[in-house]
Amino acid sequence: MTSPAREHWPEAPDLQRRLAIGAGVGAALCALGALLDVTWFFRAYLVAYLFWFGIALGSLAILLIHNLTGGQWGTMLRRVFEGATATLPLFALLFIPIALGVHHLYPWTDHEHHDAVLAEKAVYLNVPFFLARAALYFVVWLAVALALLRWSHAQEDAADPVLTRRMQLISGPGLAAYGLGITFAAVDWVMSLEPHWFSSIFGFIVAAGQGLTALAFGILALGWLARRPPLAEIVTPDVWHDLGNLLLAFVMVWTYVSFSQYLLIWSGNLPEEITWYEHRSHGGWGVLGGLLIVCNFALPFLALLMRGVKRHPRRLSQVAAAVVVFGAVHQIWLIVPSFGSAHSEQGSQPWSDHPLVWSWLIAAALAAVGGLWGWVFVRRLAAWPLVPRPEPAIVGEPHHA
Amino acid sequence: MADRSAMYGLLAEFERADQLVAAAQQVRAAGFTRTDAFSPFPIEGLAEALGARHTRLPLVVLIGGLIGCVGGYLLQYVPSAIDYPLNVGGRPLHSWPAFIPVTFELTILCAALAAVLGMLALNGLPMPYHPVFHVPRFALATRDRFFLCVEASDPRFDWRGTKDFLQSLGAREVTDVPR
Repeated sequence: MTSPAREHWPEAPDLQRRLAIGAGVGAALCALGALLDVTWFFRAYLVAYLFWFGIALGSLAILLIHNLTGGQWGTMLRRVFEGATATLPLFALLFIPIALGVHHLYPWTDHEHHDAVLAEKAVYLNVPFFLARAALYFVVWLAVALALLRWSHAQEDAADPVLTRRMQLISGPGLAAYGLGITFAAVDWVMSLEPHWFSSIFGFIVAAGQGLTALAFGILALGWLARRPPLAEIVTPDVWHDLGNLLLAFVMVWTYVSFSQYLLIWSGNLPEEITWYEHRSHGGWGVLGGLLIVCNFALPFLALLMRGVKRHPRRLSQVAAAVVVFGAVHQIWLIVPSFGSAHSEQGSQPWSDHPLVWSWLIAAALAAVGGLWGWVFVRRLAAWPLVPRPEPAIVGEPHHA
Repeated sequence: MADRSAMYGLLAEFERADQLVAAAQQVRAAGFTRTDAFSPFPIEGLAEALGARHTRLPLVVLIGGLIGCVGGYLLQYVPSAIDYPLNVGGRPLHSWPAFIPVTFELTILCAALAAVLGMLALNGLPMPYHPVFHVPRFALATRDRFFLCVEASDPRFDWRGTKDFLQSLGAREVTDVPR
């Protein structure tokens, strides 16, 4: 397929080749890991899956928000977010290993322990219902995503106010469906790793983390694409400034919801709630948590207060890169400590089960899923012109966000 | 009226916002530095066209925020850990997580107050008297006219030449502003 974007983006095939190599090496290491310890393979895979999936779903959420609010910032990022949203069908496919490994990952699938609490929760936490729910989430997300993408691409052929109106109409209910979906998905896929624990804000924390990582990824991608035409001419310092302000807002939302959960659980100090933080403050996890506070909140927050950082594409990209990297750290910190929770109740943990021993496998899984995801993302992004046709509603809008 | 000591400057009146921005650019390009513009609504790019210098307002806001942050924290720390060390549910006296929300709110409050008050102070507001009020048509600056003022204290100011120059920029009228 020869597309207009290819002319402006000659590096795309080369980039795809490198991503494919990364995915291949990562997959080979994952296969080795699966032979050594299949449980740790599924754990590493879950981390990698949820990190990259977060960028795709977070991109859909930002697209939905932009359809409702409008603004120059989103028009510039539209193609990047559409490319990431277009990878959602891939994640429906990549969910199959999680479905296969459900017994290795989730303690509530084990009925031999005769846990009274889990017996009660089995009405919701049982494998058939878990899989049916996952299928439902994907049906809803994919329906919203594919409708949006189709209308947006139809806009490319003929600017039609009816299409714009239709995209706005689906975006309100779409955002509500997204919010409900991610709340339940966060409970199912992450929270139920420690099935005794509960927190009603947890879905929002996962969603805020996804939105933050997705926006930072979008800024990073735009920073790279805008080094050359056609984006180089139209992404002005004012657009970077808006994106920097938006990133600052997302950093603060993530911090706000994460801290809200911590403050409530810390003040309550109840055994069934505080254990989750206990698992995340001992054995090196506390250090990682502290790093998250510094590198995913304090440093980006201070950097993004400065006008000079926000108006400067390279500096803003550096901040965004740190936020993406610590998005992965956040994912690891949310998921991996849960797997040691059984040991902490029994006492010592055998060295062969220590997360540090398996950190290479987590890195390999991140490379494997990321390489494959990136390959599809670049393909989708290169299929359409990088600058969307001005939407009818945006024409005549004053020149500010 | 060529007596420079009795004059504040020259006031040029424009009918459209884009004329004002263009004139401001020209005036700046001609080397004038002591200038000011007046318009009924904010015009994007006007401050840049006039060559607005670096503002100290961000520093004022930062200082306000830091005062709010440290003050807000101490407001809780000093009473609960030093003055009235009460045991509340077995929590440590220095329960920092509980102090964060109030500290955050006071940081925002003080930074916002510093922004508003600092902006007024740096702009020299409130200003009950300004020489341009002598020009009767200046009242239109709050309605539908756009004004550009070049002050007589500008090193490049020259009554005849500057007046012709402003006229050549498309001004509807150029008026002398007495002190």
